[in-house]
Amino acid sequence: MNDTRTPDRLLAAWFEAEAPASAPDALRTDIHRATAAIRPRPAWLARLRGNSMDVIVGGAGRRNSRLIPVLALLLLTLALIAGVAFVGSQQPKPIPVVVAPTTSPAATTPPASIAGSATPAPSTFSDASIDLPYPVTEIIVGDDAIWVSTGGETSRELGVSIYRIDPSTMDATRVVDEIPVQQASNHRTFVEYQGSLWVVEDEAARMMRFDGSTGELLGETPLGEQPLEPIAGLGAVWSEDFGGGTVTRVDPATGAVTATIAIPQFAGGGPRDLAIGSSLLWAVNPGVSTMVGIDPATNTVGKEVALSGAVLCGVHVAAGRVFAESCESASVPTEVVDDATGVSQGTYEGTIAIADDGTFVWTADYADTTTIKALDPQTLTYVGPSVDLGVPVSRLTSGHGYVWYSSGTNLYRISLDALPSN
Amino acid sequence: MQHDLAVRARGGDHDAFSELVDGSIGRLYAVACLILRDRDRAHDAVQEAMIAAWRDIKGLRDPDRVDAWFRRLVVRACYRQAKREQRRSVVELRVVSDMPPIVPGPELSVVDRDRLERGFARLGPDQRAVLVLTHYLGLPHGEVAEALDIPTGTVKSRLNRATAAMRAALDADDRPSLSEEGRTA
Repeated sequence: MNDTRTPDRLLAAWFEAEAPASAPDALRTDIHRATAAIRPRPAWLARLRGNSMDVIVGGAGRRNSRLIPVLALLLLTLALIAGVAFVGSQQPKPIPVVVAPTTSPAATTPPASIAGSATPAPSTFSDASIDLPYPVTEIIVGDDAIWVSTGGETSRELGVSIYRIDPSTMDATRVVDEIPVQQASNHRTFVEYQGSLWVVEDEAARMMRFDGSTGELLGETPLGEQPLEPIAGLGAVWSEDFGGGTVTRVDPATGAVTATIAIPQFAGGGPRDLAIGSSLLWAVNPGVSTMVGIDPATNTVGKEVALSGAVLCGVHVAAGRVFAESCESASVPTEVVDDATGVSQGTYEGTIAIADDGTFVWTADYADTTTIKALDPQTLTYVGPSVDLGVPVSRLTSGHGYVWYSSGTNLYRISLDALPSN
Repeated sequence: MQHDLAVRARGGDHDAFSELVDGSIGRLYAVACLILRDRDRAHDAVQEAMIAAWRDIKGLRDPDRVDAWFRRLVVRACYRQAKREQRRSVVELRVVSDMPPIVPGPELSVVDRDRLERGFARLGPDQRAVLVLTHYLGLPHGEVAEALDIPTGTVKSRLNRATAAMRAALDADDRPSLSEEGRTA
């Protein structure tokens, strides 16, 4: 074989000849459309999942060295579990922390994988936990229950299942069984209100209403171009129409759309997140530095609040305060305004993964994904020691006397009384 | 320019991200096509990679290395596509590339192309990836290592094995078959 026919030369020529000259326009369109509906993960979560440049820079050798403390921690944890198991075998059987779910008569049969066979990863402070078949995507506090949605095999095949969790026993009942939806985003997909579960699917632009007791599909409503982040309160169920640039108001009794509310301040853009205040529905858009409050009495913008100009992606209400989070919240402080007046209260550095225990607001810490810290909503300063939960936190909320959090497929709870917030 | 776009995209600017994607997608799509030998699956792989990129863009520490990051995500997505195809191939045989036929250049005869196609088809996705990144993109071993998330030494050994496999495929086709030998004897 002469030199021009070496594999290297032939491959280079072959690749050059075979490679398409450009990407098809359909691919650009598909990517643009899919990503427009997605809210990027917070930096700490993105890095946790390994899709970050700190892993790539320095190559595999550096990453391996970073694994050493992780492996050491893993070994330590295993040793601790073994020790606890040994001690436990010498003593009366403790109360199990994994509670097998019960099934309500009308609900579908829970999958066998819930039935107490899997052991959730240990979390330092939790007093109870349960392992669900798929990763927890949302935790919603209801009037008499905690509602948890789980995803499916992939991030797009959400196959949303919704579980009712008894706050005191942690019995889990699967109420809605794997809704056959395709979801282009990782936005909040459901909310519970007045005994019904309201689920939005952005790709099909619809809202489905399920009976919260039986899981029966009660109705379906076409909803704008790209409904996201449903929320309930102030007498209605609300959904942002990210593609259409409006907020949709739905009658909780009938499931009918009663108003489509334009937000001129967003200049045609849709809200990125919504939050229920004491008298206003708060909305933010990343393209403008103005947060708006929609008056449910008139279905129009009733208040405008000028913020510092950060790219706004999230809004929450807790302890009489409205927390407006920047997409760049790893480096840009969260802005806080008074819920009643809209007057600025200042800023703090941290996320708005909020658990409101009535006195303090618990926030996950960007710098250390396994810890939560108590924020005084009046002074916007952190109080008391951080609480190391021992597992990476992906969702955090509070209700029924507990802080609830998830990590992967596990749902945990901690009694508020056990938290060192004083 | 790319640095500024990456910084803006990291801040949540979707337009900046789209512009970044537009600037890179031609090369990324070509890499995926070459590794997977199937344009539909390449389309899916690149789309999946770019969705992952946008979802995790805030975790981007070094905006100057966004190209390397995209490459890495695309290679990972190609691996996943290849795995799915392996599962499907139990019931759905796909042995012919859907890449359009090419007009051979002066360096590449039709016979060469057929031999390369056959040899390449026998390689696993990890060996294909190392060949594509090295011989199509012309990346040095260090950057190939980053894209594949393996040590540089492994890149060299994997490249040697892949090249040897391709050479064997080409040499095997050069040898006359037993029946031909019998006829000429």
